Amino acid sequence: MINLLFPLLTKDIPKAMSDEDIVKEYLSTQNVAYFDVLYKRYSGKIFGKCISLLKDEEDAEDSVQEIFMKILLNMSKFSGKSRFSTWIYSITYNYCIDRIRRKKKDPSLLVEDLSNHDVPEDVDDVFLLEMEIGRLKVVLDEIPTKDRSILLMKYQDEMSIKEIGHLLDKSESAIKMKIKRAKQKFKKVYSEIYKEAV
Amino acid sequence: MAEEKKHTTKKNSFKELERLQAEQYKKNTDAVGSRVKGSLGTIGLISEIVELYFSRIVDVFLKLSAAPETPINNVEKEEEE
Repeated sequence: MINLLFPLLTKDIPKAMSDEDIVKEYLSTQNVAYFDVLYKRYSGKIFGKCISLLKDEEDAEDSVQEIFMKILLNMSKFSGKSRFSTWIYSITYNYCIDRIRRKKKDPSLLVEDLSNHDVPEDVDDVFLLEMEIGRLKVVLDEIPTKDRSILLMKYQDEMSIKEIGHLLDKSESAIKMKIKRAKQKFKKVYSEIYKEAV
Repeated sequence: MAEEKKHTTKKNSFKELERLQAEQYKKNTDAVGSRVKGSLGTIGLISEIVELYFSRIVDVFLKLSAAPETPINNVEKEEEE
C-alpha cells in the first residue's frame, strides 16, 4: 500500500552506492529515502562519538537527532572536498564540544592548556590500538574531552592530520603535538588505573 | 601524508568500541520502535472493539433515551371520556 502511495519513499537504493553519490541524489531529488540510507549508515557511529564525549546515554540519543537535523539542513553546504564521513564527524565533534561548553562540564575545553611545554614521550600506536575494549572505554572516559576527541578523530575516524587541523583550525604541527600529548595523557591515566598491568 | 605513521597492527580497539556502541544504539532504537509498534497495536485493538460495538452502544442509548409509550394520547382519551 505504502509503495503505491509513496513510491519515492520506498525507492530501492543500491547498498554499494557511495555516501557522496547519495548526497548528490538527495540534493537533486529531495527524496528522503536517500537521507534514510545515510541515517542508517551513520546514526550508530555518531551515537558512539556522542556517548564517548558526553558520557550520558540520554544526552547522546538526543544529540544524534539534533546532529542529523543539522546535517539535513546543511547538506547543500557539503562541497565534496572532504569525505562525507569526515564532514559529518566534524559536525558531531563541534556539536558535542559546544554542548559540553554550554553545560560547563569540562573546564579544559574553555581554556587552552599552556602549562606544559615539554616535548611529550612518544607512545606507540599499538599500545592504544590493541588495548582490551573495556579498559579502552574506562581510560577514554577518564581523560579530558579535548584529548579524548582528538584520539577518536585519529584512531576511530582515521582522519588525517590535515583533516583534524582543518576541523580544529590548527596547524598540522600543532595537531601532531596535541596527539602526542593526548597519547601521553592516555598512558598516564591507564598506568594510574591499571597499576598492576604496567 | 607520507610523514604520518602507519599502524603496524591490524587490530583497532577504537573501531571495535565504535562497533559495540553502534550496536547498543541499534538495540535502543529497536526497543523504542517495538514500544511504538506495541502502542499502535493496542490502539488498533481498541479501535476495532469500538468499531464492532459502537453501533450497538448507540442503539442502547437511543432506546434508553426514547420517550415513553404515547402518554399524550392517553391524556387526550381521558379528556374525551
